[in-house]
Amino acid sequence: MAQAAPSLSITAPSDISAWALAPDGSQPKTQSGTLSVTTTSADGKSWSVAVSDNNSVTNGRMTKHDGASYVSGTKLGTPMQVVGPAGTVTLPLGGPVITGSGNVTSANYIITFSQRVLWSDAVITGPSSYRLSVTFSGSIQP
Amino acid sequence: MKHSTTIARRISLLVLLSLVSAIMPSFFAVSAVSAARGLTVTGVLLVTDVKPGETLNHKMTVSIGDGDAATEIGVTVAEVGQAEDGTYIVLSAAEESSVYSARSLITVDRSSFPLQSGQTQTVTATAKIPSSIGEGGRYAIISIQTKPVGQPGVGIASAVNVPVYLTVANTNLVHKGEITGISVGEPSAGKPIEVLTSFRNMGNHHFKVKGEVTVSDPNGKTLDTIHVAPTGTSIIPTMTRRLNATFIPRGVLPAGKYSVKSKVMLEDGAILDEHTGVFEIKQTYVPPPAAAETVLRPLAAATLKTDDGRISVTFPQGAAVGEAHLGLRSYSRDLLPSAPEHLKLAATFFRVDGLNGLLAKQATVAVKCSPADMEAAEGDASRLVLARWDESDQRWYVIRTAVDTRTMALSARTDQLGIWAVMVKDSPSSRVPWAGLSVLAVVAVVCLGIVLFVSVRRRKD
Repeated sequence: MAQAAPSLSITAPSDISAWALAPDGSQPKTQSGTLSVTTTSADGKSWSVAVSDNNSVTNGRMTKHDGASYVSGTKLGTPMQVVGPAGTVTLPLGGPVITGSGNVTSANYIITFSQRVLWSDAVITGPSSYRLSVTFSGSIQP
Repeated sequence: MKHSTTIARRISLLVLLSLVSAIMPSFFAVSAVSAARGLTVTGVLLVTDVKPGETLNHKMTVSIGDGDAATEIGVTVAEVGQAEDGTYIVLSAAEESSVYSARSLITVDRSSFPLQSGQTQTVTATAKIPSSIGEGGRYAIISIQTKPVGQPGVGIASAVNVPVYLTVANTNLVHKGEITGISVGEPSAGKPIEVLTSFRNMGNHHFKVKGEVTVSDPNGKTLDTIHVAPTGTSIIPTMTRRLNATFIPRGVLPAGKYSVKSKVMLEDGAILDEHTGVFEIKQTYVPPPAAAETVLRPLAAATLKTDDGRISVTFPQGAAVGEAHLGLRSYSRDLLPSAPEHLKLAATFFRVDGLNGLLAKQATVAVKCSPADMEAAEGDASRLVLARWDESDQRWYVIRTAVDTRTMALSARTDQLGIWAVMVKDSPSSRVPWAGLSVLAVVAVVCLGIVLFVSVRRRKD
């Protein structure tokens, strides 16, 4: 009997468009979301979801964006960290935030984005803003 | 005569039906398929043997859920690396190419396309294997990614990486490697001591490894042997994997120089490399507090019990010949040797320290199953057993276990302590009922014989 092709489905947390980043108050500033994973025909195999920032301009730090492109000279002083059940990773390289094995169906995991804001970080006003793109990559491993 | 023929035929039919019904479940078992949510990719593994000169195609489907916004999908083939924890690293084209790279062998029929809500698209990867491909394995990764939304704040993209592991068939597959380093975390009172072994794949093919770490005191006396479970993922050639072992001493360690011997093995136990390192304890080290502690004296009964009451060891009066300070600690699954055949590890593991050798009278080990234990047993507590790892014999002993399915409690009597695990027996349906099938086969042959005999007699009549 032919074996069904293994499949992997991930639903990453929603974009964070409203995040008050200020150096006062408790640090780091955090935002949480849910990541959902479904695997089929993955019997006995390990799988993981890793997080990274693949953009060499931002390099793991929220960077000024003028609406058209990044302004690479203006970044937050500390890189973003992402926290998941498998541990805390620091961008840009990041690493696994969720690991598992075998089949799961719509398994939900809490993911927290953690950003420290310093008094020395540049204040920017509209239309520019700080931006960063984070990629959640899932894979089933042989 | 006609009546006897009919009966014989009916018996044969019943036997055949029984045989068929015994075999059928394995043919009709199918994988559960759930509704697509978010980015879904099928065909997420391309792991196969290839022949020089061959061309092969691999189809993947890409879809997003009904409720997801339309997006642009990008598909790239890249060289793959691995971080020391086994995570894939997608290498850029600018980075130096490994001789084991399959990146240049693989093309995809589309590098980007729009994907509408609820829609499914197919991507085909084609691998052209040169006739001069050489020996061993070739590796790459196909990355299928959504486009992050461009807006102020943090944009999120989802990606599924499809590992490509091509093994050149009928070539010499070399599985070898070396330990490139052993490091021991700074011993700190009350905290476990981490022992990290770095191992590099020096062969031409991927493989999984397991480890064993032996810690000895300044006099060379073995303090503990820690097992590192097989890596969940294979190490690809030239990559280095870090094996983590956690050493929780059974008692106070005086200052001095201690040695660590680390072995890395293939899954079948074949040793690939071993190395010895030294670490120093500068101040008397106190191990982390145990989850439960008690003092066992010869003239008194005693119970070692965790605060939540889940795990207990009850000693009758006279169980010990001398005074012993006992501690009970939870134990990491990653440090346990593999379960024996027809068993798998459940979710409760612990170690009882303070007693070496045999008890004078048997103690009773009792464990209340956790939800995770029950999940491992697929809800059937009767499949759970207690097993003890014997350091001397280097093997698991499955202990005769009483199961109270009402309270979900396991209990077993033993005269030795050490490392314990709750294990799950194979479900009866997962084993091939050879004995039953053999009996049925014999009955079937006999019945067929009767039918033939009756038929022959009938013709003669």
